[in-house]
Amino acid sequence: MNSMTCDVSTGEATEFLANYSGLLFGSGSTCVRLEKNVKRMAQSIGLMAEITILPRHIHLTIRRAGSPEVLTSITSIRDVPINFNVITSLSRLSWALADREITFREGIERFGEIERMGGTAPGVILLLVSLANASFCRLFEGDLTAMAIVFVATFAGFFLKQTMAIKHVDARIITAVCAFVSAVIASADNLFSLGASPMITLGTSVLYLIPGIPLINSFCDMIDRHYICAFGRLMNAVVTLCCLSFGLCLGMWLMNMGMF
Amino acid sequence: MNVPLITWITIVTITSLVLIFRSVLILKRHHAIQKAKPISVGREWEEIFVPGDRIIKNDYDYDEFDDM
Amino acid sequence: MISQFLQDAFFAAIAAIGFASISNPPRRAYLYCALIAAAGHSSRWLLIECLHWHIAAATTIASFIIGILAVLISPKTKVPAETYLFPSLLPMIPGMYAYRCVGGLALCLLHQSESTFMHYFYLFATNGLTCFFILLGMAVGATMPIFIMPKISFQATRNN
Repeated sequence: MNSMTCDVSTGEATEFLANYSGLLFGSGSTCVRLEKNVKRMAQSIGLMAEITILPRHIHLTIRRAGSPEVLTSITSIRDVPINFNVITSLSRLSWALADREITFREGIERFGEIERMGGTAPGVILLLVSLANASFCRLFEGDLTAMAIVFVATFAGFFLKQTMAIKHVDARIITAVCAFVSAVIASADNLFSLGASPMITLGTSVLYLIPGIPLINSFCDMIDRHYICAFGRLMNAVVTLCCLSFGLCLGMWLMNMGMF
Repeated sequence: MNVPLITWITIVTITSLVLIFRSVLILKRHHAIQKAKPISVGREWEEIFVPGDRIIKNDYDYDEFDDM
Repeated sequence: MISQFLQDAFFAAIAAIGFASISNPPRRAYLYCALIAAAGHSSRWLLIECLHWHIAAATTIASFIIGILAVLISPKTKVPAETYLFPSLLPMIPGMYAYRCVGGLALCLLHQSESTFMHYFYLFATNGLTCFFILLGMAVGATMPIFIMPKISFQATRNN
């Protein structure tokens, strides 16, 4: 790879690549994507990058080709919600840099813009998730009553989740509380004998809390032989699942519903 | 006593209270942002604006966030 | 039969849009996610209901279909394949198996006799195994197209 005239020092490039990795990985990208994107950008300015991905940190080593200088940076993985919009923008940024459409300095500026990028409006998410869970109930052959109850239970649970997230409550506590509230509300189907499928109503009412993306990411990383990272992500998902089950079982017990 | 019924009513009441309380709060804030104050103390650059002055960003949202 | 098939596709599409919205995909990705998820979930339904396949095998094939569609569509819209792939897979996540597995394990602790323990341990093991193999099948099925067509999938966001 020929080294081109570059408008940033190796130190600045390392800092940028480290921040980039922390954000990209925190937003929910796979290990392969991270490695490819970072190496691509580093190569474009004649640097070689090696990455170690740990459950909470990313260890990045940058070396200039033909020079003894080696820089190492350890960054914490950003604790941000999963955001595919950010992943898409960061991927585009990496190609723009690799194809030299923009200079590195401009790339750092654009990275700042991506960092500040917001997500979908909370109200819209709330409505879409409630609808999604209601249709999920239909996929499990719940009747119309079940769908309506699941909609209400999800709406209430997800609203609580958003409210508690604003107050910075621990994510595990949020999951347990929301699972409990959704389960209790959904057991109205059984309590007042409304529909024909009370168990399906109860079972699907908490499905919006399942950590789907971390689970898929974990298995994808396992296939790419990033076992430590895969295990870390799997453990995160399992802990969330345990909290969910705790809330659900507590709800079922209090509501006198048969356990499975 | 009928534990399931009591639990259900309690949880539904608490959740609806939180929901109503939050909605009122959000609506109030929305309203407050839209309504301009008739009299307020202005900043210097609002009175004397020299071309090239840095426009200070409206950080109203952040202020609101701090006291939550 | 056909109406059931279409219903499955329709509700899977809504589920995909809703669950995708939690992970903030770009706005124009929603439509594609819905279409891809509908194709995937309904093909899984066909395999399970008509050919009586096991859910893990059916999910693997359905994920493979989702993966191929995602990889083919991604360069046209300049979006990385995962952006379509992962949200479209969400309706097939074995959520119920997952929490039943954890719940079964918890109830093993509270057992009163050997037979209840055996029952809950059985629930834990079957649900856990099914969940694990569905997820593994999903990951294998969905990433296979990326391995087959790496050029397309990793250059999707390139501008030229």
